[in-house]
Amino acid sequence: MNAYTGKILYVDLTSGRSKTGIFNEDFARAYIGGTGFGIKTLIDNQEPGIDPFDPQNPLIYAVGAASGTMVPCASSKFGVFAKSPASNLLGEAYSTGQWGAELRQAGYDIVVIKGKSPKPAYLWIDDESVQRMDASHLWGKTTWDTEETIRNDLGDQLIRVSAIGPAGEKLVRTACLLNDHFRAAGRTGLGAVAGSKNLKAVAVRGTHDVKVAQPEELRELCKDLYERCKGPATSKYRGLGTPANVLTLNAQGALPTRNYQSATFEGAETVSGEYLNEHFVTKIEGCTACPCRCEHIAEVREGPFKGAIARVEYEPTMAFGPYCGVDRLDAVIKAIEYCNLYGVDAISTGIVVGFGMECYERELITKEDTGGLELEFGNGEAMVEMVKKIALRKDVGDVLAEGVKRASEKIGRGSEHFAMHIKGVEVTGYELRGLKTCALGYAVSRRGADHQRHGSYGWDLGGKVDRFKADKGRGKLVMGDEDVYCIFDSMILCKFTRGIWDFDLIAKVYSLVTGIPMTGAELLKAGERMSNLARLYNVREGLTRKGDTLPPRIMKDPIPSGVAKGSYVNQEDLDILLDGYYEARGWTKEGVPKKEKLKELGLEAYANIAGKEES
Amino acid sequence: MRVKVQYLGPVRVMLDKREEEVEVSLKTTVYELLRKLSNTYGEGFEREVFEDDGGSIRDGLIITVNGRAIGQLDGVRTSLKLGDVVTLLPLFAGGG
Repeated sequence: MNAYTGKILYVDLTSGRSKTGIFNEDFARAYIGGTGFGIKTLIDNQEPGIDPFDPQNPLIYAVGAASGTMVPCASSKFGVFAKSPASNLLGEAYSTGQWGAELRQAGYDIVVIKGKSPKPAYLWIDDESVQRMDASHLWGKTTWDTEETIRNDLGDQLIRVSAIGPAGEKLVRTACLLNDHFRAAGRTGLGAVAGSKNLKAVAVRGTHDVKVAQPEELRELCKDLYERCKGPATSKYRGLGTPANVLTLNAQGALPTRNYQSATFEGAETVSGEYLNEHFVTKIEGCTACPCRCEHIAEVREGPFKGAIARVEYEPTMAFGPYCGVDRLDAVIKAIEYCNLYGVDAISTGIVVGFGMECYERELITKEDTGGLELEFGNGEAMVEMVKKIALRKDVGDVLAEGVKRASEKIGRGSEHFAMHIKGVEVTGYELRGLKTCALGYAVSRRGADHQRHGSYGWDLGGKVDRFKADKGRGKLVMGDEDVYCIFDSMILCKFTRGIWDFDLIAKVYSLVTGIPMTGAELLKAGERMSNLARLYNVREGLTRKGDTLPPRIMKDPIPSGVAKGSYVNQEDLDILLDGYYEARGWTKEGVPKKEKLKELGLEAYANIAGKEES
Repeated sequence: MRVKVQYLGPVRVMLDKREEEVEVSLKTTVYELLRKLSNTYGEGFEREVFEDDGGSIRDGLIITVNGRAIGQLDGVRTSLKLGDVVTLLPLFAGGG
């Protein structure tokens, strides 16, 4: 095969042994890479209904079709998959940097890790050599120290490391896997899955060439793609970067503030992208084969958080800024740095801290619970310290480490009303009460509350639909967005380059890279296949229509002020939106793919999951 | 008549201003206002606001009038009134 290695690495951490499997062109064509490879491998390698911390829950890494090649903004990304300890459904997270290309160069497209090492271990993939290495001396280290130590121990500074921090070791449900200092497979708690296996890191070094099918033609096309990736379609990502969304969303009454108590933040200017770039950004970095370079590295040069350094994007800025009522970026940067070092997802952890703040202000938790912290909205120092307490499970951090869903079940006393999660995964940065197409995207998102599986806020904020009304037609829009993003997350293309691609161009790149004939229409069908397979997995693991819902605050409390004042998504709205989506998808009223849809997509093998069909 | 124009994101940085009052004729459309601003501020502004065809608004830039996206009004043909507030907002995909 070209580009694809055709190889799956199966690792049993219990015994320390590994073996190699293969996949063929039919598999590649049907599932492309990344998302498709991950979901297919998970559903086929995980016993239904197991606990996410069961050693047999497979932790899966999968690269994209274009990984390790010269295709700009497509070379480095990878996905991580497992049953999620946050949702007990599909766990899925994507990262970038340099790790993904390295795995392809080592000779594997997919890694499936099962079992549990008897002692802390890390996996060392050195081209064909695969070893379970002792990590006793790494246990307790931050992600950055882990990477540095592994590189020094093995004598190679070019080793790429995907590691958990102390949070993953302690099975914190928002724990992530961090690589290349500033990049993370963040969401759905996959760091805790690794921790449950006593797996501290996956280190990889690959020295093989990645051969593409038509290198000359691809090179010519890539020269043009490089220029377009550096052009106006991506300039804003190089310039202010995504934190510029803070003021945009604030102006539109769409900025989640103080645990979703409101949709506008009076302190938005001092946590904006404009302010960040003026006062804190010191350099812009990029991933493998990326001409855009969007990573805004921010450093704090004075004050109580002096020395803090982090890559700052919109979502963590929202989560530790407006969401916690904090209007100072030095605290935001420090909080993100702690997330990176201790290994927790910055988005989810910010939402958890915000929940904790509301609990504190409502006196549902006390100063004794917080270990002396005055965990009030706006208290940046307390926010930063609480990130550490959550990662290390100290004081009430031990409860909050379970995520807002489980924490609210434990705290009770009405806190479930403002536990902002969907399917157990914390919300992200778009105020859904005034963005009803986006709200549908979140309600049905296969990995829980998420904007990245659909991006459907574009319809609402772009004014292409009435964002304050629900209608059945939104289902088709969200479906289209999801299937397109499946393609992006399988190739794996950076979404910041969305403006330069159309499906025929992606198909052309796919064919030049892999040598496998592909059309834009076939790619879209593959995207639809992935969306349906993910749904089948979730249905198998217990998801019903009831799980496609929104947090109580979104469904009962109107936005109190601003341009979106009065808006919320009630049950009638949600039913209209869901009915339209299921219909567009060819699913039953319960959200189960119908048999004719399975046949259309070549998924008949999973018909037993669909079961007895209702109308 | 006077309308207020607010700038966020790259345009704010480029112009080094957050907002200004602009004198326009009665019933000026959003398109005509943006053209006037392009003539004032030049090629950089034009590139941020318009697609290469010069007629449509750049993908990823939202224009609102009094908080409402122009897509829900009359698009670029939306007619302005005295005291209207026109805001230019960049929208980014992703970001975490």
